Amino acid sequence: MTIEIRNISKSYGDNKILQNIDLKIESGELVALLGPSGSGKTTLLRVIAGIEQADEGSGPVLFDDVDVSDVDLGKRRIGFVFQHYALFKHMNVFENIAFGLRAKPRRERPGEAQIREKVQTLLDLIQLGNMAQRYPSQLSGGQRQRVALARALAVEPRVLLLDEPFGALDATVRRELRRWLRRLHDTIHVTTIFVTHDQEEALEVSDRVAVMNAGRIEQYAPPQEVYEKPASPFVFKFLGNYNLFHGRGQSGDGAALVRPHDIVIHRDRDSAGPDARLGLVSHIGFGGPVVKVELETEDKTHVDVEVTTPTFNDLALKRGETVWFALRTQQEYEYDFVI
Amino acid sequence: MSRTHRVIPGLPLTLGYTLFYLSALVLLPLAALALKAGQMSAPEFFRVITDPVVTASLRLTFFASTLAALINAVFGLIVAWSLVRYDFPLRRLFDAVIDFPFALPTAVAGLTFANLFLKDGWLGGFGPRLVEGVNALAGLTGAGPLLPSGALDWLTFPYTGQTGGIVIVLVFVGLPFVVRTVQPVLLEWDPEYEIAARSLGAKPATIFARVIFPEIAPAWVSGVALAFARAVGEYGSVIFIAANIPGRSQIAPLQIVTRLDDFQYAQASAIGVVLLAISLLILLVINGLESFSRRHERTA
Repeated sequence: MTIEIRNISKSYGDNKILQNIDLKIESGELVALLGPSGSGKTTLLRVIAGIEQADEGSGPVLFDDVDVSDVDLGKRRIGFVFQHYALFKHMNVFENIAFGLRAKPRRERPGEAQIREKVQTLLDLIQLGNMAQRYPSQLSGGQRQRVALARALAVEPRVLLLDEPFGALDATVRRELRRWLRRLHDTIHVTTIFVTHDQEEALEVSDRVAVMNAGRIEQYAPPQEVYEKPASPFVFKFLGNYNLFHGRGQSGDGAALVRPHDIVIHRDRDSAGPDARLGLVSHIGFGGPVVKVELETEDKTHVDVEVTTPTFNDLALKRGETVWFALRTQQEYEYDFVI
Repeated sequence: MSRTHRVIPGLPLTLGYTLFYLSALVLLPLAALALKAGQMSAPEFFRVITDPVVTASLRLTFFASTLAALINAVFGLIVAWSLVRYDFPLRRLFDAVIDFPFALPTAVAGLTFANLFLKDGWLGGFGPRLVEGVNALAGLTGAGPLLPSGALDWLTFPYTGQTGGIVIVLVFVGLPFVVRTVQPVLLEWDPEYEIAARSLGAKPATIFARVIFPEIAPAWVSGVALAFARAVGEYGSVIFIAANIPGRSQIAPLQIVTRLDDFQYAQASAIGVVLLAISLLILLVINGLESFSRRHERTA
């Protein structure tokens, strides 16, 4: 199902949470709403769900080109998963998943046998087939998250909305679960929107990323494009570590943003190229596949560089040495933004 | 036990104190009561507790207490719900008023209720009082009496010296228990559960019955149990509103006091023992209900 929202604004008093948001999501897409806290991403998700109402004067929320702005949350046929899951504590896993089926009006309610079958299918899908009788308090965070997802899927929603789905989990489980979510999405093809503040998560999992800042969408594009062609300094900075160079722009005064891995370290001046500068190795941090090298330039600014471990070994860098460094690529911006 | 982390130092001391405290204040007096009743021979004991006047008083006590507890169960829940979920003018004042029955000497409450519900009281004789008032106002303006006396005589509440009046005061003394036990649970309630249920298509009635109520049930059941226990032991307010006719409108505690007035201590104790035994039984059942409603909290 396609989702389209036009000119959505939302404010609490004088506090503008969302400002004139437009967004179109194709059927079967997996889209990430990425942004720092306070950027409005959760509010946008809740407006799409129908949990929150957009301000007067906002445009419509369209599901498959039908305006659902006035359709109640319970009738929008969305599956919503909360950051802290909101599983019903007094119901076991089976009853949690069956809740939406049992809550249907009598005419549409499936029979007990059908409910059992459906719940069992979902339990297998979330790989918790033998945990039907457990209560939420007896499950790990990752298991609860999957139960919450199965509960939302049980009523066959037209769209799946996930609010910081992996926010409360530890790093390993996070990585595992997000890949699982991607595979799940590839199996069931339900249009999915998830909110996250983790750029790695957004880039790895989604088909398209909407980067949000201060109630606006700064860029809406596939992950590779967002990363390689950031539409604004904000997007560039939010998507990873960066170095900022003033006054080095090719088109006059400006600033250049450079990723640490886009800086190349050389031992000798000749191979470094004409724009190379000198830097003193002030710190070396080992990080597995990459080594983080901190350079101190002549004007006492710090430059973060990431080199692969093999390259680092070839260079045989030591603290206190002076080396040449050059920028591989850089993103230039005029001096019209606040750093 | 010694290997687990202690928040309060000195388990032997605190446990010892707890046991001593419970023994001195609860178990010892109860034992003394049983012992006093035990001074009677078994046939004598049975003769006392099967006396029709006594059985009638026990029946009245438990019937009125159960009814009052059930009324409080329903309305206490509604009061707690309204105080937590809605904001209305003077909400905090109403919230404070809930505790009145805790603080007010129950005899005062009994007297007040009795006066209100007497034939000449404001509520007991509502119709005739209204006629009087209207006619007095009409008299002030110079007109004659507007309403013939006796016009609203049907609008009275029957004198409640019987079970009705007793139940009313027992509802009064038990009200805070249900409200005050349910309120904190509702305050801590996370609205996300409701939103989740709504997003799954559940209707408000379903959400209350299947999502909200099971969460507040344990607290609610203990509140009802407390209100019930309080009602069984209530004496001061009831004797002021009840007609106290032996065998008809006399509660068990009054039976006990009557025996004490006649220096029949053993007989008084015997009735006390029966009163306690039945209360204990009922409270055990309620406790069982409560732990059943908490079964999901037992984690493996």
